[in-house]
Amino acid sequence: MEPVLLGVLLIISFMVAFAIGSNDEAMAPAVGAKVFTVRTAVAIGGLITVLGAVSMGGNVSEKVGSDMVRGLTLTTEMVFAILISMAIWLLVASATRGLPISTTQCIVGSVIGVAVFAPFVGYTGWGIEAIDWFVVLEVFVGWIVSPVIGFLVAAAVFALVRRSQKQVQGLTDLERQERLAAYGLAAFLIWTSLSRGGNDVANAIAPLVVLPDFMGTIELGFIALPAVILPLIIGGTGMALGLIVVGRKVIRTLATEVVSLSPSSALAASVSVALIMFVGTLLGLPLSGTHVLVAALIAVGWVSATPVQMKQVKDILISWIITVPISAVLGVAVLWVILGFI
Amino acid sequence: MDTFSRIFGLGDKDLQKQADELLLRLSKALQSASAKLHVCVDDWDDGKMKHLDELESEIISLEREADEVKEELYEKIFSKRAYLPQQTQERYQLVQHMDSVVDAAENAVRMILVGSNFRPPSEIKGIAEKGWICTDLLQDAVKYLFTDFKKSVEYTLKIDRVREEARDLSFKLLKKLFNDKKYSAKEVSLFRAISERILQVAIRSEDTGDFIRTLAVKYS
Repeated sequence: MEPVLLGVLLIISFMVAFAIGSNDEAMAPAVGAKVFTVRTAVAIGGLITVLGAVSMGGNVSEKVGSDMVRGLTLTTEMVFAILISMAIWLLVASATRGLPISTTQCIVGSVIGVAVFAPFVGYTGWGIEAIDWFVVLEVFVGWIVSPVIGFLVAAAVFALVRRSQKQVQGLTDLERQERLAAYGLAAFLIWTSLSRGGNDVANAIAPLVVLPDFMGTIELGFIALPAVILPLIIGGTGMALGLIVVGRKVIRTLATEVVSLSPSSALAASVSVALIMFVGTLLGLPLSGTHVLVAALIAVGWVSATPVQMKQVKDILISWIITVPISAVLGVAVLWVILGFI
Repeated sequence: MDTFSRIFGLGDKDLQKQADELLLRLSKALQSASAKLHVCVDDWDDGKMKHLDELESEIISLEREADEVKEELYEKIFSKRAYLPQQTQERYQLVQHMDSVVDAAENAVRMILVGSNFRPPSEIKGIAEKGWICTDLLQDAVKYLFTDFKKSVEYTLKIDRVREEARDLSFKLLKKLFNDKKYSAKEVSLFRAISERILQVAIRSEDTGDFIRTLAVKYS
């Protein structure tokens, strides 16, 4: 591929990664429980994201929105339109209000928009009928079920934790327990960030890994590295910078503006989210990690009788509802712009 | 784990040890100030006036010491992240409550010295004794807060009862002051001011006990 075009693709992937990193983060519970400051959280999160992207990103293959269109393959322009529109909406949500939204929701919305708009710009076989509405329905059901499951499981897990906490004799014992929970939370979230880095980078660099330029190896002196390491490093760095520069706003929203957390309640919420997402993946359920996390935070707040900031929850819910139509419109607009350049 | 703790602000064991020692000092200062206040009222009632100034300066010294302990806890321990933030906040509130009891003892003794030339009604002695018992119980409530919530709550409930007895005595005194013709307007005003200040020792002990009970109920 021409170096200029390759450079443009790398820049776009970097921007997409930056946007994903700005919104999709794992450190909020630790900040909420005040185990990490926001600065420490983004520093550690950024570093771990790069490590996760480079070490685990190569094993994750991502076909952006491909299962939603029946028997058709998204063209490169379409994939870029989907990714760029996702990046735009993620950045807008993160930078303006710090609202945590679902990356999957962005992708679904923009795939629908692009697929429906495609016949108007000369693509044959596309349109409403090209979309596998059963898959879309499955995904929608997943979004409704995710918070419900997240709430129930996190409430149950934290209720168990609270029961064990009631056995403590005095403040010294309790503080010891909370300190252990804080260590556990720090370790757990570092591990979660590592796998999240590996998974999320796939979305950003999906169009790059299929290019012949990144299929072989690159020689660095006597060391031969797989060429895919370059987009992985770019994607990982983009996500890390997104987290450091913009992501702190989303962390603050989740950490302090929904509910007050203690190390044990934050750990219960984080473990519940990981558990639900793991079982959901095993069963093939299209659950949203963001939805599950928000519901889990509300659940632990409810169990510990801590006031839940309902206004903030309402804003988050509204952002979830408008994400699909906005992403669809953005997908159409971006595809139209891209086609104008070709 | 210590280095890890320091990096992530999860508590430094040396600082925690210092904090425990300082809290113990504050607890002793509180109890000692209240005990000296009780002795001061006893001496005043018995007409032993020569030690009153000495007792006043001792209580003032204890109050200064309590303030120093509070500052030290804040500047050298709490601000250095010896504990997790929620724990720091709760400990700081506890320290503030305890310090307020010593402040009340200082106010009371200063007021006693203002009116030491007048012979006090017997109820004032009773109120001071109840205050002293309250701080004695409070010392145990604080001690058990860290090791046994149940016992700690028991002590705070005892403080409530003794504080109620102190309040009853205070109203009995007011009734006497306002109805007994032997007291002049000046004496009524003076003894009322003194009794209210001494009663504050019991009231602030009760407030501290309430805070301890809130923590115990929250976590047990």
